[in-house]
Amino acid sequence: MILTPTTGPTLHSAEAVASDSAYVKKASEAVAAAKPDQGRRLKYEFERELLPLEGGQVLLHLRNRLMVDVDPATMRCGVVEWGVSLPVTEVADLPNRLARQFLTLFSKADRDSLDQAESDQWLRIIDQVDYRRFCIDRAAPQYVEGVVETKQPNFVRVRWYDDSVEKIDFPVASALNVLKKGDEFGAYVKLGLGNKAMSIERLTILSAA
Amino acid sequence: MRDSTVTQVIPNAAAPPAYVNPPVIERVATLHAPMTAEVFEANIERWKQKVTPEYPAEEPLIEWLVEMEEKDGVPLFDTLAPKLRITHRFSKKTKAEGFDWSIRCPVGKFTMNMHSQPGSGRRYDHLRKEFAKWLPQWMEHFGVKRAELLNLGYINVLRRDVTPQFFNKDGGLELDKVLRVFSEIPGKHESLEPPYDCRVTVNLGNAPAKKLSIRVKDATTPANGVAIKVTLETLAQVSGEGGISEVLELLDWSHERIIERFEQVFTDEAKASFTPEAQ
Repeated sequence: MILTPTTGPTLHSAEAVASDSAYVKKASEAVAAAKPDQGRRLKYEFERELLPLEGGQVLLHLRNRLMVDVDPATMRCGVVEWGVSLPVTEVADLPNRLARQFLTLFSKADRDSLDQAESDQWLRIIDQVDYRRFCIDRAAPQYVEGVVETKQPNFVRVRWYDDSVEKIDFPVASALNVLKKGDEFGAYVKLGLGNKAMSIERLTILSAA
Repeated sequence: MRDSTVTQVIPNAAAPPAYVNPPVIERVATLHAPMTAEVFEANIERWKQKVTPEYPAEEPLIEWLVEMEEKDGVPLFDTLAPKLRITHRFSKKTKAEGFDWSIRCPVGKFTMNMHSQPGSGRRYDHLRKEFAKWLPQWMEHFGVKRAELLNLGYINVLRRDVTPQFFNKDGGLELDKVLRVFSEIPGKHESLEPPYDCRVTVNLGNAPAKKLSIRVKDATTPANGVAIKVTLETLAQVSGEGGISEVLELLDWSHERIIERFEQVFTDEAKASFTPEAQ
């Protein structure tokens, strides 16, 4: 049998057969057949829960997925609430643009130099992200002192200077590999949610057991 | 009395048939593994640094998707969810230059594409070697401990410039001279026309699940005229206990199944046109 080029009307464009066997046009067909309205902005959900900042060292957690507006008339797209707009052809750069806008407004807010429009925009943005988590993740490591209470193959138990006790799992605890039970030490510790140690660096032994 | 020596030629049953000019234009291997978005985003920038010296063209795959739920066959418009998906993709040549080798990295997937054309000399072994080089690095970089699924796909294209002998003077492709499947359509008609899209999935075993799909679809374009795309794809469940070596063994198994079906899907006349290599 020969496969020939299409001539005349095609079954692609024809209506579904008028069958009594309850043929219902599939959702995808219905959407594909819809004539685009050039005057209407289209909204797409951005399939991303996180925005990486500082090369992924800090992650900005989005509370809900962002909506990307596409204007078919200008072929530009963006996230209106964030004040980010770019040509559709450059949409691959959207995560970077969003991260940059967040840091720009965060920095201005930190310096107390937001104007009224930026302030409104900043409020809308922090409503859409887990701002508390961002602040914790971004915080610099703090110098703390503690004593090794227990060393096990998969964790180290430390009593901190404020008498709180923390079970630190590996790989975070690997920074304490050289220490022995009873050693007093100082270190810069990056704390996460619930003041849990996320990373330990710049270790010093204050008093060996 | 003279001694007579008889040399019996025993074909090497293990060696799969090979062709000088196979119509395969792309081979794609994908490993699926559990991974959180946090782990992915925290590591993707450093992964880029690792990959780009060898895959310098960074062109993300942009997909504008439309998904909608159906209930009892009726589309529910309030569930209409257009989505924008951006997938990291690195290749040795840009799309404008015609793509050559690429690595895609969505969350929890490692995909390697090897492009080729008839006579390019590229083989499965080339894909396997590159996959075996990068997969362990990907698993280590993203802390992947266990694989779940493995896909291998072969995309073959038949066009007038590749196999002119199967095209008539009007530009029509004589399908039954090329394919043993999906070419004989019952009934009386003059010819077939696009849309032409046939697909079947066969079950090659359960526990672990192994499937193979064959799809024959017209790939006609105004520039190239009538063409068909024949895609052979396997999906295999990975037990996850054998590590990298299990994945590679499964990749070899998938390749063997695809080659078997390739032999059965194409006619002897078509295979002769692909120029079999002397065994």
